[in-house]
Amino acid sequence: MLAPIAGHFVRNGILLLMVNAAVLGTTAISLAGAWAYGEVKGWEHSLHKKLWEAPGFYSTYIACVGAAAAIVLIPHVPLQLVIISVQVFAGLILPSAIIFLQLLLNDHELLGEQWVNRPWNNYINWTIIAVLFALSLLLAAQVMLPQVFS
Amino acid sequence: MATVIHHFDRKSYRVIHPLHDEPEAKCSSEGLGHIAMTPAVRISLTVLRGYLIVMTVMLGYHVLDLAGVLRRLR
Repeated sequence: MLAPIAGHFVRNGILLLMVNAAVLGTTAISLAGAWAYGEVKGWEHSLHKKLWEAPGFYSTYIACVGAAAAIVLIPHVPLQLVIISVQVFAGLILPSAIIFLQLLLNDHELLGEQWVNRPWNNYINWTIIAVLFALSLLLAAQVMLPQVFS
Repeated sequence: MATVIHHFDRKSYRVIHPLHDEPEAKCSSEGLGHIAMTPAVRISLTVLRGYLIVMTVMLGYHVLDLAGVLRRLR
């Protein structure tokens, strides 16, 4: 579609950029997952460490990339559905991060009196969280019960 | 032609690059135990757990339905 308008060079260039974005995304997300899991398990978790110094971290990273590759290579798997459902899942679990952040922001022991949330911070934050959750539930309802919204 | 002369305050500001600035005191989690399970924390985490379970099940069901897996099973 793009080739007749912009030429094959531009088309191939954009495709190359998309491959680049995919490689970056795969690396970043798998590493972030391995880092968080290593943090929870108390393992060494850093790219500054050698493979044998942080085996759990690197194993998790390799397992994540391997699992993603394995899912993509399943014959006849609907790839568009996989891509979109992963994005939807990411959007649905996103509010959980903000809850943990809000709980940490109210931890007096961790932040001390200087940095801990004031009541007005909490009013704003909980309002944002409630709106986020309401929007997520609305999205879920729209997907599950489309006839209600048509 | 009237000329407007602005009298600027001749204060000067020095911009410090963050790399040359004094490091701010970081909060440390060393020696801290688990987060205190106050009623608010307990309720928040319970609601979050319920939300995540319900959403995951609903999304899984919907994706399997769209993929035609459920139709084949019926």
